[in-house]
Amino acid sequence: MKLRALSLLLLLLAPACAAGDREVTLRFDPRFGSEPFACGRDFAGIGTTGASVTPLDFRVYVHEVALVRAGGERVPLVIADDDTWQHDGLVLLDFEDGSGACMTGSPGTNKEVRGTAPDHDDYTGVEFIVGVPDEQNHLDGATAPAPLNAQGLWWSWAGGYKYVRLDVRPTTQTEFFYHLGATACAGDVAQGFTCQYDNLATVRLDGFDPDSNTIKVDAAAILAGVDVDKIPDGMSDTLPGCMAFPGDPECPAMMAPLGLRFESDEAGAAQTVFSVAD
Amino acid sequence: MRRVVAVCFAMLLGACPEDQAPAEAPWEWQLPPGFPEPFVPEDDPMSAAKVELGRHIFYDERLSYNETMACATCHEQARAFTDGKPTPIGSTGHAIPRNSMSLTNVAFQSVYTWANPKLSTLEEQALVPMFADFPLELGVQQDTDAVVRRFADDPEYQELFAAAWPEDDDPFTVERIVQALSSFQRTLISGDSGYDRFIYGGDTTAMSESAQRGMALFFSETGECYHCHAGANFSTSFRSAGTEPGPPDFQNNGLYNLDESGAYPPGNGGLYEFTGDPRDQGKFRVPTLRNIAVTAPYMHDGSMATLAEVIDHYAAGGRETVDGPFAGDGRQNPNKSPLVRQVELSPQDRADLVAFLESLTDEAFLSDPKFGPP
Ligand code: HEC
Ligand code: HEC
Repeated sequence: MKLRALSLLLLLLAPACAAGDREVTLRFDPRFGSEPFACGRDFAGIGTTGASVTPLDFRVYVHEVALVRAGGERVPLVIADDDTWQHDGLVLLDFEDGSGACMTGSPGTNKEVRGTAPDHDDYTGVEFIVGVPDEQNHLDGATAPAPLNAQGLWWSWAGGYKYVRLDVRPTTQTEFFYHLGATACAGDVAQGFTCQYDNLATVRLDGFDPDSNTIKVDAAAILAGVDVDKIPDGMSDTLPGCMAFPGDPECPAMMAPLGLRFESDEAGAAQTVFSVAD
Repeated sequence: MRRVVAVCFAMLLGACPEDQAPAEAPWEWQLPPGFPEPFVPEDDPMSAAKVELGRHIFYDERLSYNETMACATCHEQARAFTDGKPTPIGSTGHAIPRNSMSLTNVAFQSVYTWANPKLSTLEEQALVPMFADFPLELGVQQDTDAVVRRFADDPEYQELFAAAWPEDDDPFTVERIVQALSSFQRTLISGDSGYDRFIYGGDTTAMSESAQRGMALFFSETGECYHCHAGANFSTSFRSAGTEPGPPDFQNNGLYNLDESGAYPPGNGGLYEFTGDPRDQGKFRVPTLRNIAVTAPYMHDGSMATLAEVIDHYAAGGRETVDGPFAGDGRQNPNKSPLVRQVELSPQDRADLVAFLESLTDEAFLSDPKFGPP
């Protein structure tokens, strides 16, 4: 009862506080190195062998987005639900437009996170987590709301979602995959899972002004440590790329760029995928 | 809210019974003796209209993005819904690492596929062949809207979907497709084999002498088969409307042993693929043995061609692979169940066990038109 009274009060007060809020749009800039990412064209100089690839898919979930003030205070961005890309604090960044070899059936793209934050003038950093929060990471049949309805990100055999999907076509084989998600999970789809390896990457970028800067997302950085041309031998390696299977040999080198360690909870080296751009 | 609507609807029906179309009769299971009612999720109740729609979709190649493959391509009725191949190929050419599974009595499984601890309903399972990327099976994700539209634009399906969900404004969704497929699969119940007629029907001629001896061995402490291939469906994986499923059971029956920790061939480590725990290498869900005579080749990778070979494997307490990339002594696999151990079985014993397994074939199930293509 008391709680309800309090929340009513808060609701009444909300418009008053909102006057001090402002809209914030974080703009993401997907790339392969220096080149803007696009479906339907080739990118050279990829991976350890400098291979040439055509993109097949590039999508990333982020959540817990916050701005950081000069003094270090973290100010959560209140994400507006939009029934397509943003829901309950979760945002799908969809860089592919379904054209060319990107056979995703999803022509729409989203390169922004839209929300509101108190109108401070000293935001100098941004923070977010790459992935889907544990509570939402169970594949509820086909009923989950957008942006969890992106079928290409359904990790059906794992009962959850792919957090990052970056698939490319090298010249030697039809696909080279990167599917990152939580692994070694217990539980079930109905009740949800607890996972030993969350594989959620927290990204913090300093020297970032939300009004003038964009956030570069470099697909080439994810592929930098692997040979995308290498065809799996079926013994030491059963699939081209990393799908976070136990023992999947490409995974350590493909998770490190996000600051993650394969099959470990400990943080890895600094991430190299996201950076601040003008 | 939903209940209120239902009540009003019932009152309406009562008011003018003669001009209302008769509501669909409640679903009635026709269960063989010894079978409880299957578990059905609350949000996907059975109805004749959904089963009929599901049967159409199950056999329809338009469910695959490139229209080359249906569920039935890998799950053929005459083979108890398997495909006769060691391992199949997906619609775009990917090699699938595991053997296509029988769908006999699939409603009674508590977890689905060879070793996945996470898939606990048919609804969850159906998303795998439809949406998996690697190996890709049907490839619906290549353009989900276009695939769904094929059904929405077809007059026959318009009727079938409307009959299944008369209240839906737009029943043409992935969720509805998955629900219809699941309802159909729940009807795939087989319990009229020679064994069933012998045990439940009192038909003493339904099993040969040899099959009866094989049955005794199967259920004995010599054979030990029944510990794992247990109950009405010959599997420790079991769920019905009245039973809460226990924790999923996965067993290693000694097929491989690639290294000292008991590794199975890469990509086919069984439960290990999900837990990453080396002690789970080679652990698989216990498959049903119903209709087993028509589902060759056997095991998760289709690596045994005949039932005789399977019996020899168990008699030896595992399989030794002498050379090649998978060389190793499965009999020594550290994860192997102690129930799989060398036993003295005469050639007659072995033939009897095979005869028993053959008595589990339910001919009516394999040819019943209600499970066949529309
Ligand atoms: C390319 C061949 C192929 C196609 C097409 C296919 N399946 Fe399967 N099915 C398999 C294989 C292989 C397995 C075992 C998978 C595993 O263990 O990873 C399987 C397993 C299953 C199981 C689990 C059975 C059990 O006892 O746990 C069900 C249920 C099933 N399939 C239903 C379907 C449905 C429904 C469709 C259509 C939407 C379908 N399958 C399409 C090959 C196929
Ligand atoms: C420790 C548990 C266990 C025992 C005991 C056991 N099985 Fe199995 N059985 C399994 C498992 C698990 C599989 C699947 C293994 C795989 O594919 O890697 C299997 C597979 C089979 C298959 C192949 C099924 C298919 O669809 O491919 C047959 C046939 C079979 N067992 C018969 C028997 C017989 C006959 C006995 C007794 C002599 C027996 N089993 C004893 C667990 C057991």
